[in-house]
Amino acid sequence: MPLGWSHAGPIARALTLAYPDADRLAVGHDALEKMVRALPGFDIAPAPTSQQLDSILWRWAQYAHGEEAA
Amino acid sequence: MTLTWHIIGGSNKHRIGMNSGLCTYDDGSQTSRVLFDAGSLIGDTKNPEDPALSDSDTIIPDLSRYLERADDPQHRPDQPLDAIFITHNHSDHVGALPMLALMGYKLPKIYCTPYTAKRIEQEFAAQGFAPEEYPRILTIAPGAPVDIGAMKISAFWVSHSTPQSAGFFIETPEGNILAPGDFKLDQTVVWGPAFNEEQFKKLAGRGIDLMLMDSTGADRDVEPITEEDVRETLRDLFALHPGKRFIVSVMSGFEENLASVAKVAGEEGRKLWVAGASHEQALMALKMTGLSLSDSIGQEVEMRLLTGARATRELAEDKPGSGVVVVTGAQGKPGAALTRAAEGNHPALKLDPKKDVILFCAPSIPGQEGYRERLLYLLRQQGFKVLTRADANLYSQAHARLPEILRMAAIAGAKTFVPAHGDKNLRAACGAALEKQGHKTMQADNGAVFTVSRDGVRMTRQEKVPVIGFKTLQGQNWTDRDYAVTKITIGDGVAAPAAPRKKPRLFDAGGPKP
Repeated sequence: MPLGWSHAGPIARALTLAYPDADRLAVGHDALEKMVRALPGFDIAPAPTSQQLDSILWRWAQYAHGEEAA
Repeated sequence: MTLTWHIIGGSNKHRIGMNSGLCTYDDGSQTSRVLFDAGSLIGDTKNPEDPALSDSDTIIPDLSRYLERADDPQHRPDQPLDAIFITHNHSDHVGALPMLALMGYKLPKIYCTPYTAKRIEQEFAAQGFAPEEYPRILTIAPGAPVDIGAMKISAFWVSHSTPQSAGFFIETPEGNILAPGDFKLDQTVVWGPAFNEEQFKKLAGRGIDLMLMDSTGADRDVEPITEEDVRETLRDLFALHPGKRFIVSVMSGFEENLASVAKVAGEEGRKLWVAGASHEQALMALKMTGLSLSDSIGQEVEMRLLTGARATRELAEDKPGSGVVVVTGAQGKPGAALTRAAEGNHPALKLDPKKDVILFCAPSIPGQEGYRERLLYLLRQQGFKVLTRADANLYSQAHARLPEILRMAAIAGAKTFVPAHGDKNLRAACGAALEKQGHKTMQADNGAVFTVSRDGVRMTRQEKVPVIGFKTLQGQNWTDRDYAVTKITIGDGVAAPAAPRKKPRLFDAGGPKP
């Protein structure tokens, strides 16, 4: 399965590693898309939807706080 | 013409949860069905609603006869729903939605306020759904009624512990029903919007034949503690301990409480640290809804997320008395920020009994007492000063206390009230108090069906209550849970064979972990 914008889990994990000090509450959709595209191997072809970007942010928060188990 | 209200869940024997009601209007040529809330119930091994559910950790109403199946376009439910209206985002009102979707049911369109919509999307994301799998959610607001067949449904604001909570007024040619959801009348909530008496009176003035009543606080005949009372307490405590850092545990989903802490931190010039994913996710959802923290509290506050090496370093270097750390863990659950910090396992938050005062701004949730008591013991044993709501006004309850219930009833002037939401004792206390004030009330458990008309309300039948219990089999990877599913009808005590179900999330499950 090719990586797509709906794969919030792996994208969020990669963001956690690449941007450990990011202030996620200040990251808007445009900035988030750029941050994801800048990740090696994550230059995903189509444009993301706002719901996909929201989902990535929520998952990123989960990983950043080290709370993988709900 | 027939108008009915069917209590699907929420009027439980022992526990609060699984709130859901079905409104059906048949005008002779067309039948419209709208579900109001679809909540889940946290399982309780000691005091389950039914012995067959003692092993379930999440319980939801079985709505199979109302829902289509996503995987079977030929499936036709006996009584299809036209829509689901959601009062607010707490799991006892929305928790069934993602679980039903996991089981393969297709949800009809959902109506709710914008913040609730974002939180529902978060619930679906947390269960591993991709955005294209979310249900269709339409946002609503007071002043813009929605027509579902011949039903006209108007929202109105109620104060609660979470933002943009709403109640619903349902008008039909046969009669009117008011479902306020969870409410209190507190005018000092930060996010709100707060209960608006004039807005409510305009709807109530059209006549209410049946009103459901939040009975959760009916056993407390006391004036309620408001959010402003909590802020006053925090101001006093900050003044009393100027050189201390405050660690404030706030319950997930109690954003009004979080905002009160933020407001006082801002007033006192303290930096606000946020530890715990659920608090961050709530703030994200608020931002996505267009609500910034500083604008809402009317106060600039320096807020920082407590993740990453830089934040860890900065927090450690903060001057004594300059910070407030809002943490998850008010119930002491394993993995929550305060629990991990108390155990010495939090990567960023290092507690020190000489520097920190710990506040629990939350009640004890039934079924969770063991975790909470363990955490309190752990903290006190280490010499921390710990204050709970038993020591000071640290928590503004989410539900109306008896004086507010009676005031709401007087404003509404409904012909008949049916206490809801609380356990059997709370509903009885609510009914007795309303009767004493001269109101007509009817008591009912889950499964009761009322027929409503301008001539009055009659309980026409008592249906069985089928529910579904979920037992988490694999919770280590939150994107890839498995569940064992038990279907029973409460009272029958016979459990159907457990059938493991899995929603495969292969990519997520196999991906690398940080």
